[in-house]
Amino acid sequence: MFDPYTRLEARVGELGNHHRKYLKNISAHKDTLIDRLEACGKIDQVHFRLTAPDLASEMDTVMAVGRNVEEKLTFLGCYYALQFLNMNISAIDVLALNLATSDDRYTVYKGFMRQIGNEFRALTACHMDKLLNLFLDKNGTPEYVICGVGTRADQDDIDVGIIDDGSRKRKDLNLAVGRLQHSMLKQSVPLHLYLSEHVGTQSYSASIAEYNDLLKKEIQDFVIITEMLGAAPITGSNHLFRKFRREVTQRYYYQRQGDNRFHEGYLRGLLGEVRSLLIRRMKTNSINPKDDGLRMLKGLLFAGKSIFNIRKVNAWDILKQLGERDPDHTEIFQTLDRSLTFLEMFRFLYQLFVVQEDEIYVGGEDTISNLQSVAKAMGYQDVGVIKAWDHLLIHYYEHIDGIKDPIEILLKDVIRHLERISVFSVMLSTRQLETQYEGNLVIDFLKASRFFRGTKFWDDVLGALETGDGQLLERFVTDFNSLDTERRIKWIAQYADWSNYAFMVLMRLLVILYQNRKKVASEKLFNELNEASLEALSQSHDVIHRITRIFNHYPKLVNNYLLALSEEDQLRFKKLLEGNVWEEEVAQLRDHLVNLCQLHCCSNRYFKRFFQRIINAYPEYIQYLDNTDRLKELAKGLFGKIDNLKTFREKKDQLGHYHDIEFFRVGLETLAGAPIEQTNAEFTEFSDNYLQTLFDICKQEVEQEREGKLKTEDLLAVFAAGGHAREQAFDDDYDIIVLLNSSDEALRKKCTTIISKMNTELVKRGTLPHFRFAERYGHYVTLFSELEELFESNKEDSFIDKSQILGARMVVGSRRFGKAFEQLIIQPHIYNKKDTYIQQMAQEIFARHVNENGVKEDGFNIKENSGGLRDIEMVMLMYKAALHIQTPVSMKLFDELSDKIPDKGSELKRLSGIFSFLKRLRDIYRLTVAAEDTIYLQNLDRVSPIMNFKDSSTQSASQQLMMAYRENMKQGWSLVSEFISDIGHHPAREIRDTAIQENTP
Amino acid sequence: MSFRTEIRLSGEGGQGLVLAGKVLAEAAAIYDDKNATQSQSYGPEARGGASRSEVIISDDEIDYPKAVNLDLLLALTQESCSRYWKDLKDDGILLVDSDSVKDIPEGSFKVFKVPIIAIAEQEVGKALVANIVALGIITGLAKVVSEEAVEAAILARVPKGTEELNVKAFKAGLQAAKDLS
Repeated sequence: MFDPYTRLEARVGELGNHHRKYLKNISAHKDTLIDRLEACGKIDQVHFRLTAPDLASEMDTVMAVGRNVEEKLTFLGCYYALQFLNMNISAIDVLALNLATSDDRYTVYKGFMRQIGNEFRALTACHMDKLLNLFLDKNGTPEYVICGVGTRADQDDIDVGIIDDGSRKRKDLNLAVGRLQHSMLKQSVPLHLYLSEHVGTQSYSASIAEYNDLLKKEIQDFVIITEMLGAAPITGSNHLFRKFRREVTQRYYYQRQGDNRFHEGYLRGLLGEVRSLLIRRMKTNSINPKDDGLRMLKGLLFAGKSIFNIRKVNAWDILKQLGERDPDHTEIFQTLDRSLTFLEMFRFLYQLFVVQEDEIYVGGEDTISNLQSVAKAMGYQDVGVIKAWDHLLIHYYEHIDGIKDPIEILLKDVIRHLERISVFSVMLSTRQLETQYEGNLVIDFLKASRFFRGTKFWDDVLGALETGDGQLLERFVTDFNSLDTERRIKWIAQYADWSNYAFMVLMRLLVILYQNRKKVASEKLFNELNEASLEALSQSHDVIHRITRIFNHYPKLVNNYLLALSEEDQLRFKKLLEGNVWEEEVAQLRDHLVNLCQLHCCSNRYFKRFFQRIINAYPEYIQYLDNTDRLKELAKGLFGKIDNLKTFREKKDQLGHYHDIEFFRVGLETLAGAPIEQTNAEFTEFSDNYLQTLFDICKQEVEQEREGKLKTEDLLAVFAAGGHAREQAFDDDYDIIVLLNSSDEALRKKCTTIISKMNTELVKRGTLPHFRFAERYGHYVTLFSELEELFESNKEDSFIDKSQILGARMVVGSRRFGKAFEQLIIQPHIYNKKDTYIQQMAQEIFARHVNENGVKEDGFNIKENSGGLRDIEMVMLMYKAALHIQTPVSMKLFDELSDKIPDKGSELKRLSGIFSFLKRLRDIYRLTVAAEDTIYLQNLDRVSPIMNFKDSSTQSASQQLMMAYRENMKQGWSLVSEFISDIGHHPAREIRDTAIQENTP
Repeated sequence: MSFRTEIRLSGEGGQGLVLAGKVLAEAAAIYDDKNATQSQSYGPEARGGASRSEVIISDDEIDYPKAVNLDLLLALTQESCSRYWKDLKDDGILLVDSDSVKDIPEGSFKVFKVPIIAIAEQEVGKALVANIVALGIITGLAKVVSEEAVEAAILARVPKGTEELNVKAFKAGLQAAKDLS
């Protein structure tokens, strides 16, 4: 005969391993139970293979055949196990059938979840009832009620709260609950008594008075409150439950007239969590339906429940009622309903089929195989190479993503409600502050906030301090300043104490104080409060977690906070992040934050300006501080999207972001020690890209404004001059030459409009454009005829202008233009008059050093001093003129020259090495110290590690770098002198003497 | 004479301490026929980074479900060690992950320093099973639940396909406990 137990065992094998304990129980006791029922003639009154129509009666029957308490318990446990397994197997069979016959998957899911929740509740309630009947002394029982406070369908444990009447009989109840707890752990689903653990005093249950006492102190525990608001009686006194609702939970609902502090505190707790979860980044190696979606969704539903006084406890019922009360948001509630259904269903089935854990690690063959079972049960099928679990996960991510917008909309409504009912509303309203409020804001706020201690949502208060005309913030600072020293210290310590439970709030307050320090004279307060906060943080637990959590959710805030800190405090803050962390996600966040601190500590304001703009626009990019490849991809993406944007404004802004990210990226690479050749090439690439695209956008804009095409291609060109022409990174100005090969004034005017628009954008990037020749002629655009006139005048200093032209590199313009430029300007005015040009340049080099009194001990100019960058660049220009070379002054030019004058190859190689060293030093100095050319020994401690200098026993790394720097300059000057003699065909000494003679007063 | 053993497993979220607590409680109650309760950090506490799971095992009835006088404290992080060591009995056991907990509090309790996470990573091949390695060590040190019961409870709790890995982790923990004695 086919054994039904074998069939059951086979079916249970489809489910998770945690079902083994039920099989163990059945296997051990079913035969005895059946024998006993048969012996008593009651076998037909009990269902073993099907779910029972009358659980209570069948449980009574099963217990009745036990000869003693132990047997009764054993038989009841065995029967429960059979019913529990039958219930689950039958439910998934019905689910499969319904999914096969229905077009609406979500209706089936919701029906399933409600059905299984009700059946499970009925089964466990009945089981608990029978157990308690067995354990309780009928005469010694107090009035009590056991409430379910969690999700009805959850089978990993049953969250319960036990309320008693506080009488002496509690002891018996407590003993019975202890036995109940043990029996359920062993035979069914364990109880989770979180409420009692927190409220009770050495017992499983607590009285209404004890709940009241605790809740006066523990307002921040919104989880307890949510459980209480969601409580539904499982077994016991309905009268006591109603009393509990009246005397304990009623206070958390909004009351039109009356004290809403409890309601406000609950909302502050809930909103803090919802907002944090909303901006939480999903983990990459795991998913968690609770943390990813359900918690924020349910948090918001319970906020609505408490605002609208909804007494329903089931999430779908609450959603329905919210929809009825707020018909404007019907669509939102429908979206949330579907996602709630999907997520609950997925979580339930994962726990049924795989393991009773919330964290689901995605990856690995076992996980995939387990997810496949869940997907199949949810009605997904393999389609071609796409597996059912792929579909499931895609839908999962869609739901998680899809609920964020609706939740944000509802969140705003809840915040508006909070602002209306808050006890702080008088203090926060500027109008009421003037007329109705006479206290000290510092003291009164903190006193009032004590009631809400530990809650994390203070956006309304901080927002009021941050916005408006600053009146509230000014009052806050003034009230602080009115305190005598002793009281000031006391209140600062009390505010700093927030770092122990809501550091984010304190951090935001500190940032507000710092950012408004000039407006409301808050610098002193900022310094004192910050000092106290850092001190308090260093003494507290879980600092890495708490800080990384804030960083994860509010990277911009943390960045602004770091910006407010002195370098010393930045290092103190960084030190707080030291220590082992287990969670990969936390460790990763910590690393990103340490990188950010490092960047703040080692970069100067010039670099921070770009960095700041990026963080403000894209705070999420902070995570890529150590991943410049990713930053490059993001920049490329932004650049690629420019064409899709509609307005010119949007295009220009997007292009600006592209520029800033690329600037930032190349800066990071430089700081990480990338070779100068690489950083210069990458800088030039994005910088040219930026200028070319900006030109195009501005040209299109002018064409649209003037309703006609502008034919500028062969006539107009934009040249980079100076450092940009030399393909040199990190110049803080942008030398530009705009040339027009036409005398058409109307065309010049149109071109000027384009360049004027470009100028506006360049200024916004913080790189100051200098339009060469513009001051001389009063136009951004210089005509060929004007240049010809200038060079024909043969002025003494025309070699300076010629150098600009000779060193310029065309960024925008056609090849035809380039050819015309060479033929009409370069050839006749520079190449054909090269001897004069070279002589003037050589003399200029010496003349510039006539009054240079040697090298200063602690600081000298990397660009202008003897052997510096300017000298080398001028020598290179002289060679360009002498040998008619068009290549810009860059490393490529050194190579080209070596080919043309091989007997100077070794000297050129040495000079190129010196040029490279000096440029790298200058770049790093500009990013880490200051965008200036005078290098000071005392500032080199930030530069030397990046340039791989290390402390030795006799000299610091900075001293060694300074020595290397001086040696390079010295050798550079020696080589420059040698090259001058070579190009000028005169001994350098002769040229120098002439220069000295002509430049000595 | 009856006994009541209170064990607290503490560390960070993601270390599987709640699951370890459930396994230990079920091992005692289902497979060793003892009395047991299990509770875990919950609410705002659990939504931070910390994680805590408590198991009380007794051969008598358990009238109070909260662990207040610990016989054994497992601390996988410095934070959890610093926070909970004061709840240890004078003759209790403090078991720490030696790579994560450097600052060991002074007291009359016994201290066992074991590289639990490193064992999971290096000997078993997955840091994720550090909780099960810890269970092995606790089983060996506390001797309140049998090895067979804990192994059976592990198999009845872990996801399908990971049974072998978890048993390997448990045995590595048992061996580590033996090496301590």
